[in-house]
Amino acid sequence: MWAVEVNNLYFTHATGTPFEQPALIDISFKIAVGQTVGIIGPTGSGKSTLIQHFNGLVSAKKGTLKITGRDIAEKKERKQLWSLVGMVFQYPDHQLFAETVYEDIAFGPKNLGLDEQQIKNRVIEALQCLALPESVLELSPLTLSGGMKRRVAIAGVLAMRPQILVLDEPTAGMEPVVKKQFLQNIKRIQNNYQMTVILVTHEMDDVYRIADQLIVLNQGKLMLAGTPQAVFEQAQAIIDAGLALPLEVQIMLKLKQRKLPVRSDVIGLDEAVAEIVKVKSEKLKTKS
Amino acid sequence: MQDTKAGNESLIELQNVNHAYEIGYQKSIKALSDLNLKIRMGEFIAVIGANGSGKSTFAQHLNALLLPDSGKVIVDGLDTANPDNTWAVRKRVGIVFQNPDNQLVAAIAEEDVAFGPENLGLPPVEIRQRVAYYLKLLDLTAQQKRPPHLLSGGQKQRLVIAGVLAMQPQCLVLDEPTAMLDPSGRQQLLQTIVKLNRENRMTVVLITHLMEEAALADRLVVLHQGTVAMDDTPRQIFTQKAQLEKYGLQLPGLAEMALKLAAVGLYNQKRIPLYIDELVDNLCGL
Repeated sequence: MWAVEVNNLYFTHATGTPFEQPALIDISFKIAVGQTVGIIGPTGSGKSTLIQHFNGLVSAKKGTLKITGRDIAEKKERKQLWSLVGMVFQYPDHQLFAETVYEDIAFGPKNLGLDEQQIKNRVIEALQCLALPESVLELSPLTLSGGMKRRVAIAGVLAMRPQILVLDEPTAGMEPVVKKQFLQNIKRIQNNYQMTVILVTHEMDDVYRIADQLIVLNQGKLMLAGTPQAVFEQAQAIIDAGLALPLEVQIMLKLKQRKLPVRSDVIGLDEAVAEIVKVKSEKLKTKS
Repeated sequence: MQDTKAGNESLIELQNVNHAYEIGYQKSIKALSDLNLKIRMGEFIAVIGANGSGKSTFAQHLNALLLPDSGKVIVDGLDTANPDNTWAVRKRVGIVFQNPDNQLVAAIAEEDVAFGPENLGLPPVEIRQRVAYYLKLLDLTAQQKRPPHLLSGGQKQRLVIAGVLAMQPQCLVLDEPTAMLDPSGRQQLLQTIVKLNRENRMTVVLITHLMEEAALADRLVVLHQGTVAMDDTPRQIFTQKAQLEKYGLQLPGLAEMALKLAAVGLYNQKRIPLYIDELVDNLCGL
């Protein structure tokens, strides 16, 4: 079952004006239900334009897009998108509106027609997922710090329990400890509810460690797609596109240059350390 | 702490600064709490702290966007709380925020850079010179005639900096300037910031939550609950993992990696690495 199917998608900004600019060119890919997919690419590569197709904010100029099997060019299918696809944008301030944090997070579930207790449960769960203390519930979202606002905005969307959760730069402005917790919790919620998570990000370390699949966009085109290891194996292409390599891959590649024959497709620092230990001890053995 | 590059003269002094936000009827949140800090001419300071530690409130006190409830902020001898000083203070301290779209005002890049100097009432020749100089400094000469909204995120952020620098401030404050940039945009911007400090002797205060960025500074200030919790060189601060975690922060990945390698006897832990090459040299026994 595919959560998202994109076939030969094209999109052009400002068609028919002197500023006409192709934003997406012949994009095709599929995302299976329950996967975590990272979309990466330099600024202006079309990432945000692409995800705006997923909940019908913009519609394709050419090509087809299916969300959980529904062709969203059909107007009656498009209405369903809003409960199927939850989207958190780059600037969470634009997404907060209620008088208290509780009301803000409860707004979605309330509109789904849930009863008070169910709503409360969802608010609390979303709060925990984002590592927000219960004491923020009665505050106005506008009094919170930038990083907290972002977490409240995500909590509000999460509380809707969408089948597909799209996060545009969710961890920008989150401090490392919260970020780590957030990414773990997203994984947990995803497993519990079979949620498909699509993550647009510039944080290569994070996306490398949590994504099942990566999609790399460059200048409106699909440049690479595959597992994180396969994608970052194309190290030079990634760097040329203005992206970066995850820390552990950078370290391993440098060690390789220095004639230490380590694998560079390790994921996470612990795996990197284990690989270095292994190769170093083998080297010692062959010496003696 | 003595720094060789920076002068001893303090440019900005925060003395027992307190600041609280009203968040409803008779309720308030304390954002800064008895904060004391001296920023010297020519220093490159990174300020790091968890969400809600007071980073942005601190930044906005440096050029009188916010005023202390009690305590004093003195910029180049001027008390920011005195309304007569407001413009003189803002001329000396320029701020760059996270989202460049909120800070760009003109329809053409070069006009944006000219906006500040025009408002200072400078003669047109001087304005033209400054615009050309700062566009070149920020590597934007090729983009000078382009509308800002067609620039990349990194270019926009550099344009904002050019506009702030064209006012010729003594201190540049950047509040999470790379949060919205892609890796190469981030890299270029950080190089620019380092260059401004090293070559143009600009005093730089970089507010960030990325330890990798903080590592570039000469001095690292950790904020916790609105006050200065740590104040030392990045290398020294990175030796205090437990302390950082207490403040909701983490070591940079590279330092974390060095500790993990040290735990299995593969890294000589005396010197926490700030650059990948340091770690690799150490591992390869150089």
